[in-house]
Amino acid sequence: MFHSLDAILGPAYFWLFAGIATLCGIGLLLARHPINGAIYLIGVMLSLSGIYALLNSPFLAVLQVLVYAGAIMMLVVFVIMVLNQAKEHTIPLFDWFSLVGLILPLVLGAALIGTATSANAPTFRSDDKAGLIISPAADQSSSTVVFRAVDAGDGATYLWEFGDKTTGGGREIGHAYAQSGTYTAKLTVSGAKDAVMNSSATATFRAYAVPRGEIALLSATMFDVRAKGPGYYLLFELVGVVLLASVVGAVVLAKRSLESASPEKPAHQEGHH
Amino acid sequence: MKVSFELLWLIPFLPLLGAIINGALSLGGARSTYGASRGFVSLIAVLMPALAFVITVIAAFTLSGVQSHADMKNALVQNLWEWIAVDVAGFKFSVTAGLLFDKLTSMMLLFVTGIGTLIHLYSVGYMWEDRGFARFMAYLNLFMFSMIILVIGDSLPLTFLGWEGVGMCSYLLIGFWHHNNEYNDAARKAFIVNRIGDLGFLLGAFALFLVMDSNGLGSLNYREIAIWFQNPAHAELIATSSGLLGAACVLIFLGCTGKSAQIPLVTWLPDAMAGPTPVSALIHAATMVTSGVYLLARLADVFVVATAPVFLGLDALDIVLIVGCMTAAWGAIAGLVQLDIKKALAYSTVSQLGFMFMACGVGAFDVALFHVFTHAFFKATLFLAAGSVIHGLHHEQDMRRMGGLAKLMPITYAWFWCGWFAIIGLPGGSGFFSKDLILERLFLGGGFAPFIGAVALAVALLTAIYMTRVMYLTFWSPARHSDEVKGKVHESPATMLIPITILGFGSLVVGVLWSPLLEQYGVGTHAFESYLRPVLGSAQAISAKLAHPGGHSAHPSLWLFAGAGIAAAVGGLLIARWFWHRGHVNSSEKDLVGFAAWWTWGFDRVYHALVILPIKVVAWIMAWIVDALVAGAVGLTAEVARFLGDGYTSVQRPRLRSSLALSAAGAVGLVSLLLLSGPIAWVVGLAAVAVAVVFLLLEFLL
Amino acid sequence: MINHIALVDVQIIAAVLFCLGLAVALTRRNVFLLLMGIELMLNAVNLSFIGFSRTFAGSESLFGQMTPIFIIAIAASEACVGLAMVICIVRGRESLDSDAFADMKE
Repeated sequence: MFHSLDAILGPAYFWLFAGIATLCGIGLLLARHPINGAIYLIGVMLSLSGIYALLNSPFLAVLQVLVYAGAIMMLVVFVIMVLNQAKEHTIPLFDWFSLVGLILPLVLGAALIGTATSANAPTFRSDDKAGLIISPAADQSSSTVVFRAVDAGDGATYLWEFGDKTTGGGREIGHAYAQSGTYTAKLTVSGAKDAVMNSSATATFRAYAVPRGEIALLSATMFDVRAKGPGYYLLFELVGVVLLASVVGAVVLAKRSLESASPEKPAHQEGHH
Repeated sequence: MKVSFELLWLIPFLPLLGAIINGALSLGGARSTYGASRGFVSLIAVLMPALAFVITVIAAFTLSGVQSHADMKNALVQNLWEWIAVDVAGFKFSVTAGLLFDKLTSMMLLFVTGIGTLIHLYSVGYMWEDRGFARFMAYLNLFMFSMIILVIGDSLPLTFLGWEGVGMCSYLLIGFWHHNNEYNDAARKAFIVNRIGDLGFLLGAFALFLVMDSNGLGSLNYREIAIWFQNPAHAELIATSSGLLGAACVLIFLGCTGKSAQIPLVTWLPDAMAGPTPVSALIHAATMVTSGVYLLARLADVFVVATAPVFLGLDALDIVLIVGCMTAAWGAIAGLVQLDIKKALAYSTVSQLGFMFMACGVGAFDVALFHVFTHAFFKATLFLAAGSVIHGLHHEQDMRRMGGLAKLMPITYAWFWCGWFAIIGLPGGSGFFSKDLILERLFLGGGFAPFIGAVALAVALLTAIYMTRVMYLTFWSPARHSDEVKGKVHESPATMLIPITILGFGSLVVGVLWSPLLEQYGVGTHAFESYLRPVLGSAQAISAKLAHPGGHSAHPSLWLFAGAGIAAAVGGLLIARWFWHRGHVNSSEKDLVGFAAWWTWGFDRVYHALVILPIKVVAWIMAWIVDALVAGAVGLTAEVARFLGDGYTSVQRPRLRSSLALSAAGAVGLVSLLLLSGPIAWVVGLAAVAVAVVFLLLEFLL
Repeated sequence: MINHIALVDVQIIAAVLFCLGLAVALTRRNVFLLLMGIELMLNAVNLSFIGFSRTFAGSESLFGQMTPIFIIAIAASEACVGLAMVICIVRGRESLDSDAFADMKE
């Protein structure tokens, strides 16, 4: 039972962190006060740090917490606190510019995600002279392109030239390209009883060399405080969050005491105008 | 056979060490009022060249020990490290930082280090009071290092290294008293004129490499050059590339004219007398200026086979001969009218260097080197004694305010007299032997060499005249000292007199090295000639210009040439006596000032008219082109850019987000163009364009 | 299948975060949120690099691990400089509205 739990814990952690990151990103977009935005951003960064750890990059995960969440965001929070007019009461959350500006990320995101999830050979032109069909089919799980020809009947042999100086035979064949690019594949059919089928056809298409496999996630024991692993990474993140919170608290407290100690400061600023 | 001698590297290294130590001391003591410790500096400065001299002597004896008659090509070698190693696409070129110590090197090194050491000792006395004592000694040691590298390097690139090094030290030492701008100008002039020659040297070396590289055996190593050119199998190859070979020789000779102050690169040497007198003696009389002759002798095997006409039907050695003759005559005539004692000696040096090149030009490289050798002695003597005079007269160099010093400075006078005796060629002095040999080789040489010999005899007469004039003005005539030095004239300290004594004695006796006189002591006839024969013998044996025993049926008696030389010397002496005998001195000098000025500066005027003026005109035209055309074009471009920019700023919106959105739209458009394909690309690209357009519209509307 | 995640999913998350960051930078008028949007974009790029470093073997893997380090360093310096500029500008203008800084043209 524990084994099967481990098996789903990795993806579970990944989607958990991914969800938190996305939600915090939306929160940042809609944050009313910059301080809220900063805290959302810290949430994104800590989640990303977890994903890095899952992706077996512990050094960058630690660096993400230390430098980003620890140093950079601390600086941002500090500056927001120091500057008095950090509230944007007078600034509308969104305006016309914002709505138009929103188009760009939406389109870009749709295009990127669409490209990433679409078939491996998004475009192809088939030069179908003799009723043959070349169908470079997409294979989601690998970088191979599958070629399939219509049945040319008994005794037919199929010769595929994949366009990268390699050849293959058979009615249906998969081929993995070593480099991304536009290729022209050629099929030559010979020996078919129906003489009309003895012909050749070409297809031009774009193939991607990006492997479409899977990543092995680091054992979830990084986050597991049960007996099977140290679980130190979860502890590390927790300690980071506590430290961050304490520093934010210290800044808030210091600011309050400063403001109460120097009541003449606003007056001075008025005079400065 | 090459014999390894592990101590060779010490010969250049010791002076370099001295230069480093003294340089450090000079820098370290720069802040103190008196400078670094004089005693320690002088100990290091004199000890290092002296040790180098000792090792040279040891090496010379070792070389004599391994010399066998079966193989006359013996030499001591030491390869230090690989310097250049190119092996690209079939092109091979390698240079080893190697030292070559053969008979020629040993002869040069013996007098370079020997006389150099003596001049270092002399400098201790001469420069003792100078604030930059340590700096001066560091420069001198650095010069010794460079000169030794020049002579001991086993390839043209290594020699070039030393060649540049001595040029730099010469520059540093001429401008040693750099508070005087005239001296700085002189230093710069020497440096720049030498650069022209150095360019010739480099191009010549390249051309030489090309000649040999035509069958893939290119090398710049002296031994390999000599073997290549002596190889009869290469005669055809040499004949086919004779034009290139001639050009190589002429270009290398151009380098020699720069370093050895020959026409046309002659004018820097008289100006170089701005430096302290030991510098004039060491660099501009005894050693550096003779490196041109050394280089010609080094490449004797090349020059004797470069017989193709280069210019007006003359081959390379003919050009050397003519240039040497012109320079000798020019130097002698200019020396006749000088008022500054050092400049008189400088022109004398130019003239004597001309003699050496005349000997080279007729193929008698050993005779040229013999004159280098004797000249180093007597000219160093003359310069050091002149320096002693200048020192005794509290830095008075004008001969019109000298005179009567024979009684006031008797020791200096005695050795100056020896140098004078040697240079004008009175029998017994060293110059008598070497100069008469040159005259003999010229008269017996082929082609037009006898005519050159006649000119050389006239120049020998002039030499006697101008040197006797110097003797009269400085020592023999009544005293004409200026008021401030009157009564304060003094003899120089021992550190200065000891080197003069040794060199003066040497200038009297070294001539016997090439005379029948030593025969009875078992050294053999013409010891000097037989000493150099391993290096120069094969070249001179095939030289077409040299008279060979048996070649001419009627070989005149040597006494004929000796007699002519003596006649010239005595005749010059008498003419000078008639001109500058007591009483004539003052009036005759004044008359010559204008003439003197013309002769001294004639070359500079020619250069000004032929080189500097055209360059200025071209520079003026170029400046006009740059100002009017180039600057105009640049300005036009700027105006177009400004116009376009003004137009663009009306489109550019002030809002930060607009700028951001526009640049993001551009980036997204690029992504759609480059990374995406198909309908998605169109959608994304159009969306990016649309967003950009809408943003601009909003900016204008809101 | 077990304890694995599709390569594409990492890149999708990165793309989503990047677009969110771009949206923040383009839509919000508060300078702090603008800066934070840029930081979010940088983080998304980091995630993409790290995802690719797991995708490829060999030197590309190292490249995907190294580049985020540089990006983090540059982001840190950028944050310092950006915040310093914000402080300077806000001192003079008493506003955090990026549209109030609309005089870069002059």
